[in-house]
Amino acid sequence: MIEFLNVTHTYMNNSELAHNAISDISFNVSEGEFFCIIGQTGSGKSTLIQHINGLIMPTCGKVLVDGFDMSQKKQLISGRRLVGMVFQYPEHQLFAETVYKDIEFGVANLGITGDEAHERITSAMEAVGLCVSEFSEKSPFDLSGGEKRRVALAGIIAMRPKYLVLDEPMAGLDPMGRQSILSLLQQLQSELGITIIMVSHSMDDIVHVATRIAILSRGKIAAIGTPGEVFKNCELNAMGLKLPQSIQLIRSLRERGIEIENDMLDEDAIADELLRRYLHA
Amino acid sequence: MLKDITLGQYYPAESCIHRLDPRIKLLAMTLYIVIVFLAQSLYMFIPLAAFVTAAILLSKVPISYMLKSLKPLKWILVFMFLLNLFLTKSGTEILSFWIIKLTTGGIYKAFFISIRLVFLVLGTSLLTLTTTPILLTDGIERIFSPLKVIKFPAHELAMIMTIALRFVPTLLEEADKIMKAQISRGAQIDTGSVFKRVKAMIPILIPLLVGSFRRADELAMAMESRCYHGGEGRTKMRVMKLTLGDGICTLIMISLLAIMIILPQIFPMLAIMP
Ligand SMILES: Nc1ncnc2c1ncn2[C@@H]1O[C@H](COP(=O)(O)OP(=O)(O)OP(=O)(O)O)[C@@H](O)[C@H]1O
Ligand SMILES: [Mg+2]
Repeated sequence: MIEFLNVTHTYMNNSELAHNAISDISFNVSEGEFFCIIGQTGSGKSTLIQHINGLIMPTCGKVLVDGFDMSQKKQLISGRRLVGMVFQYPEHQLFAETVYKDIEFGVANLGITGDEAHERITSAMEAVGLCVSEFSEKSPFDLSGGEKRRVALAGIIAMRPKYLVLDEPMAGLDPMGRQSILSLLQQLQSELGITIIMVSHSMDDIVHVATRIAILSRGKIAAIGTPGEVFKNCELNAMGLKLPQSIQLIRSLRERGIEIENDMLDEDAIADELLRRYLHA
Repeated sequence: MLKDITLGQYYPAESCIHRLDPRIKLLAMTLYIVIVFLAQSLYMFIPLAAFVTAAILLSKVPISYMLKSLKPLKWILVFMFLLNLFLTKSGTEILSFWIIKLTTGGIYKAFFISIRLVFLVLGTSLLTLTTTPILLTDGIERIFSPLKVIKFPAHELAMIMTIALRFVPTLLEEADKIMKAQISRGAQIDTGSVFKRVKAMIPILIPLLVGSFRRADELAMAMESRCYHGGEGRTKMRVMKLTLGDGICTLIMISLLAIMIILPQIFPMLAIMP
């Protein structure tokens, strides 16, 4: 379990420019969840998730990963092994001569070599949809943006983290690319039981995959809960966010007198439902 | 991590010093350095001190901020002080112990050199604190532009400086990000032997380098697609006009120079060291 206990982070503490990026944040993420964090630009999402890996330390409060206190140096090392972190534009961190070697970097840092390393690397490449024979010996710098991102993702997945933290993994990809990353993550969560914590700023991407959503606004949690709860109770517009299109559709249908009870249907299901009613009428 | 490093520390404020033309400020700075070196005795720092104090007060930069610029210099100061203190052998001897001899001349010189250094740093920091790097390079370009007739690349040099300055924070930010990314992939940057540490830098330096080339490429493309073709025939967005303040500043600097030259003539005994 990942626990945030009254975490505050102040950038450039003790200076004229001190500024609370997140303040007094508390929440838990349990194992097996697909937890999404959403919020406007500058709301503190990246700051928040970097705490999970101890890359930045809370100014006040505590972050616990499976009970390891990430602000204690000894426990930090154990905690870090549980968490895989994928940054915004992860393709910028590639460095090795070949795709294979780049994915190997993290695995080797865990002290894993030989057959097990090879098995992990190839299965991670397959998981992200990179053909092993085709890509292994290519230079990561010769790939397209989307392929690079897959390599970066594979580099983390091969480390088999228990918690996978991703900062806007879909930014800058086309709809197909977004969809395939999203279904990959869903697969990791449902089949391998990896807990996923993902930052996004598009509601449409996450509404149908998230088990819980936290909405961040000006460094504070404005709402937290299942997608249904969050959309029912929360004034999204005031926080510069939009309702997912499927929910907008259901609401505008409702205004016109067509009642669809289940708020959480996706666009296809709504179309089916409307078609069914039309045929029955 | 890396982001705490501040470079070209501009202090934004509304003051008459901030408003001065950067060319005048640069020339005043050159004059100021000459003046500091003209001061040949401790007494001559008095008018200089009055001038610097007035300039700092006028600039509205907090004193604490000014003093911070001296901080990186503290070891050099201490070193210079001790060196002069013990190695100067002039005047009367006060203390003698083993090979160390303390003389009045040494004490005097140690103070003198330290104060001169402090004055130099205070003056130059006042320039960078009150002028944005962009204005500064713009000023440099204009000062050197008459040299274009002898093919001196004033515009190109200024452009290189501007771009370099512009990308310092970006590069630091990028380095910070890459470092974090590799740390979370298990890279051990701050432990192990020297050899291990150097090796651990590779996963950071390569992406940084690749990123810089990408940036340079993008920037070149962006500049070209907006018809940048070097300095020739290029007009300026910021038109620099000298104002009354610039005149007054020049006048003050020249009077200060005059005072520093005339003072030792009127009171010749002030010029000599004891
Ligand atoms: N290294 C830093 N130093 C100082 N301030 C920072 C730093 N990083 C972020 N901030 C500030 O903290 C606040 C939160 O930033 P953060 O990067 O967490 O936002 P975000 O929600 O991830 O935004 P985005 O959607 O644009 O990625 C912002 O106001 C930002 O200006
Ligand atoms: Mg962010």
